[in-house]
Amino acid sequence: MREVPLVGISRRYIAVIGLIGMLLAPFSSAQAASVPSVGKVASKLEKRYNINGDSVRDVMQGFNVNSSKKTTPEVSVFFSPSDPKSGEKITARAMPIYFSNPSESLYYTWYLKRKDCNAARCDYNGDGAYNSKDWRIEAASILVQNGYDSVDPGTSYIVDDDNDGYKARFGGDNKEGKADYCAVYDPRSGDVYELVDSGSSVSFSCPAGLSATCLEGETQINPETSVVTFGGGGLDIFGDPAPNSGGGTITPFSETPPDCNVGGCSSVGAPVCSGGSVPTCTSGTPCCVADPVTATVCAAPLNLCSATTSGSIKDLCTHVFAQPRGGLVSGDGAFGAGEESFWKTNPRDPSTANNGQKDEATVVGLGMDEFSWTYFSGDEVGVAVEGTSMIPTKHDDSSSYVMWAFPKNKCHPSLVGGSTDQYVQTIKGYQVTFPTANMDPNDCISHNLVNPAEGGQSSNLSIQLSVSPGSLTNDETSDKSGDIVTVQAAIDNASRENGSLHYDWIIDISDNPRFTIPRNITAAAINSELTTRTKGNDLGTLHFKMNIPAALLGPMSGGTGYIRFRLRAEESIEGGGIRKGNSEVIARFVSTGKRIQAYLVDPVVVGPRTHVKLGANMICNGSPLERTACQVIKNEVIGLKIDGAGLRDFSWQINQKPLICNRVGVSPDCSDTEQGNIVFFPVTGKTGDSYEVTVTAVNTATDQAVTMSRLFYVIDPYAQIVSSDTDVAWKKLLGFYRDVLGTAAVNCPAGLCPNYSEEALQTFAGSVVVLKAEYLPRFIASHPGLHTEWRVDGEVVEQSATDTISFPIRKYGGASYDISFQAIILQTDLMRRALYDVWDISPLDSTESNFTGKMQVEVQDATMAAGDQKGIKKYYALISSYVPETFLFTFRVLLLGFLALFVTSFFGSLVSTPRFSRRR
Amino acid sequence: MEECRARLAVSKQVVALVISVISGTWLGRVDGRFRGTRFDIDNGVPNMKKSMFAEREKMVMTTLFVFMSLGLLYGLPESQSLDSVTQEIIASIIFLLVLPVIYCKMILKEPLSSLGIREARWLPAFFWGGAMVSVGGILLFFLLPVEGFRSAYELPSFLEKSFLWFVVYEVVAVGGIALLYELFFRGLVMKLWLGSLGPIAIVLQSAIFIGFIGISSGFSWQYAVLCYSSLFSGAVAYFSRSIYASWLANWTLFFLVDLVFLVLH
Repeated sequence: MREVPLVGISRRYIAVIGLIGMLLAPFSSAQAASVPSVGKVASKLEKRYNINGDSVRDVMQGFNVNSSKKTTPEVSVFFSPSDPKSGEKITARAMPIYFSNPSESLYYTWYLKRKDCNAARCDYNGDGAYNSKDWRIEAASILVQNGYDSVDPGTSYIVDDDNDGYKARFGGDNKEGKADYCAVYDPRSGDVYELVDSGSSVSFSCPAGLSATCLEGETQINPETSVVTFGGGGLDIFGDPAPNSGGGTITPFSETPPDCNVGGCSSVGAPVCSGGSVPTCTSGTPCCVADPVTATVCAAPLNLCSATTSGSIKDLCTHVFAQPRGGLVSGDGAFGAGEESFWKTNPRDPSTANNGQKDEATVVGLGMDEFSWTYFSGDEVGVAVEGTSMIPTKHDDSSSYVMWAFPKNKCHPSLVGGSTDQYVQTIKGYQVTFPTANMDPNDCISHNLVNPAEGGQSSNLSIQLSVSPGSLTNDETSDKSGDIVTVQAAIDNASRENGSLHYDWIIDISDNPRFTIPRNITAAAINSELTTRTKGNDLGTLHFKMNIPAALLGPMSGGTGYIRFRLRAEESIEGGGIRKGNSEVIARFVSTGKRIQAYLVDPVVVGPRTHVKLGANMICNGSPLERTACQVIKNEVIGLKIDGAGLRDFSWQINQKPLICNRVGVSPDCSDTEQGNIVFFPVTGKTGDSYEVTVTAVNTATDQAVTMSRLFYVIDPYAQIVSSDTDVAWKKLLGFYRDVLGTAAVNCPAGLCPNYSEEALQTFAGSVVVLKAEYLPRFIASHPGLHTEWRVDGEVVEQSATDTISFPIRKYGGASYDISFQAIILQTDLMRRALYDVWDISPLDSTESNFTGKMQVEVQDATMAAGDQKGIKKYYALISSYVPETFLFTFRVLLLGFLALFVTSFFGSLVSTPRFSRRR
Repeated sequence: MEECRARLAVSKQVVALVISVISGTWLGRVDGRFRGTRFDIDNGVPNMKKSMFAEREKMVMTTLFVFMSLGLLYGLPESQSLDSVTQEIIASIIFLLVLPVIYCKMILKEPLSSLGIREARWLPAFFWGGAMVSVGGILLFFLLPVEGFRSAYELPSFLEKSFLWFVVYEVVAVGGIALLYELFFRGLVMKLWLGSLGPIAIVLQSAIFIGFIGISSGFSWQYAVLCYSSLFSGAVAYFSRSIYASWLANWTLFFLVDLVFLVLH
């Protein structure tokens, strides 16, 4: 503690008294008739200068602690790429702030800690340990070498004449002529400690086991229980009469000052021993606590202290540069052969890194705000930026503190086990106390390591979801012909393939787009096979069948609802950490049991024109597949109808174009006043074309729009010949295949599934085969313009029933019948005229359609299976089975011929007998 | 008067010459067997009773054989495991070619010349053959406008693409089928069986041939050329005494008709 002269105190008192006298002097004459009141004077001053007492109080309270609100230097480190992979080059960029130096004048001491390094492998300075000194050496080596290989021929460290030494200055390269005051900042208390050893000894009178600290709490503000009435006469809260201008009530608040004897306080710094005996705190109250870091209650009051000083101050200012081994010093202005050899720089090149500055300047990190190295998993990196802060010292000169910035801002005495102290100097005649810290900033390095791959520096996954088709129709019936929804996730900033990301889909439905009461149907959808799986990898695309049953829909059944697809995606980052992203998309759907029904139409003559009307045969209603996608043929006219009960205001579209039906021009089923629930369209497209018919109507009960659609595909008509009785004629067995996928529809004993031919039947000789033609589309069977012809081996065969023939099998085993079925569909003349009158389709374009079906019936011998012959008979049978039929036929004819010769010869011999001779 | 007699005598000689040419006697050859009386040249020993009995026996046997052969050919059960065309070819070869030869050689024990397989007398052969082709050409000229005839007389489509295939078809298929008809109807039926009836055998064999076609396949324009050729082919075989000549004449007629149709197509 430095000695404070008594002369200075006396001068301060005189100055204060004088100031008060000057303030009061002008009012003395004005209030000469009475004794002036200090309170009235102050009140008048407030009014004259519009001074608000609350504002002044607020400013002064902030001013009181302003010394603790310092903007100390900081540094942020950014990595590129943000998710480095092992073996990949990575660059760390330091962004320092709150230094008074320009960036290129700062010293950037980079350090790199390798995960797989230890004292045996990476002890670069030979101190027997792998610590922050080695980390700095490795980083500085990378910077200064910049790819230079000292093994290159010609490199010799015997001579060093490149004059690449650099003398570093405290506080930055441009700091010259200013005193060096190094300091560290305690972010908790806001104190700035000079790095000096004051040589003083301070002891506080705390009980054993307790240490001195400054505790400070916050003022509690609580509402009062009473209510104060103001206005309308009466007294205000201060007891003065209130003006009669309205009134009301307010609830006053009371302030409870902090009481660190009770709790709610925290340590804000260390006390100083003022006057050699009085503990004082810049902020808070001196207290004895067990642990300053965790203390909230003052364990014992701190009233006394004792301080002794040696009178000498030792400066602890030091650099945190990487230092070579062997006592060599970096930044001392000398960069000799020893240092060249240690850093493996080019002794003939003053700037081995080719960065325009000397090698030693590079070693100390002058302006090196970027650091690039080859990343390996587990690497940790950091930088200590040395420069002149923007905090001026209290010394009587132009100095500002020399300070260091670390990535995590962790560098204060209590962190590294340093001690704090103070010394007092007389500045401008006043005793100024300087808090001091006895610590080494080099010890802060190990507390400021950053993992380039750890979370925090990487942004979240950016996910975009899209749903198609746009308008969804849910089929709540058992047909399950609802739309198939495809939700596509696009993640544009994932560092991995989308297939390796983890996806978690959640599906909700709600009756409103805000999803105030969502219903999670994810599990139910999986159970109902509306979707497959919702969690796992490679789920960037989700397929969902809009076949939500009515039980799940609840009040949305038969109406409109909204379905929301939410996605949570995650990817693991190399070296640890996870990146996540969330997104959602909402689509509107219409759920209905109604559907667009398709009919064949009949032509009807209306005056001079021919129109169409809905026929009696509904088509495409035989199976869920047909109801989903109706197959039609060219030149057919399709009538569409939807149950109009409960619906109004119909609007039909086909392939996004209006589909109109009126009575005058199209059909007597339609109306001229409004669009009804029936329309017609001709199939004029080519094979493969499709028509999407959409009808939008308004639900009369809910006044909500309902949209339904149906697809129609144009195909070539086709006929398939099938056996009416598979016991008589059955499909030919082609062989067996192993059902690896387990999707076979037939019975597969031992996993072997039979493969039957669709073009060949088999039957036994002598049986009567009945074949039937099945059409695709199936409504062809009832088409009025259908004409068919059956042929068996080229011969025309009459039908035994509609589209059915029956014929006996007269051929023997091994033979076959070629069955052909030829059909032609030709619209009636009246329908062709309707096509022309209604849709202007020329009769030249509504020509006939031909199609055929073929089948081969192979004949088998009924006795083929009874082959239990043995011995020589079996041998003969085997031979005969291999004899060509041509040979057997020739043999049979020859036998007949020889029989004829024998008969002739025998008859001739009878004619030539004597009996006949005598008769003659 | 004398002059008239002389002219008449010359005229008779010319007529006799023409007749001799037509009848095949111009070369002065006499074939007793062909005339039908075997005993005429049989070792020069007149054995009228024995020869007449043998002729009657041969007539009866051959009649039986011819009708049995045609009957079996017509009523042969069809095999369902063999192509019908192959069956027809096999059966025709056996019944129209193989069996007549065996019958002649083994049953009657007569030389194959009895079937007309012998050297031809080419002058009457060319005469009757030429007449056959000429008359056939005239008839073809009148028949071609007939739609039924044109549509019924079909050639395999592949012949229209290659003349080489046409030649092969004519030589192998047409020549082979013509040989079968010649051997059976002109050789067995006309010469061996009905040879004793003289020129009327020509008409009879043609009638049997046409009748068999009508029974087995039905009459149609498709067989018009075949029926026509049977009559003239019989004449060629009768007067040339060889089925070689009738075979050649028959084949020539078919070739020319096919050629006309090929050109027309």
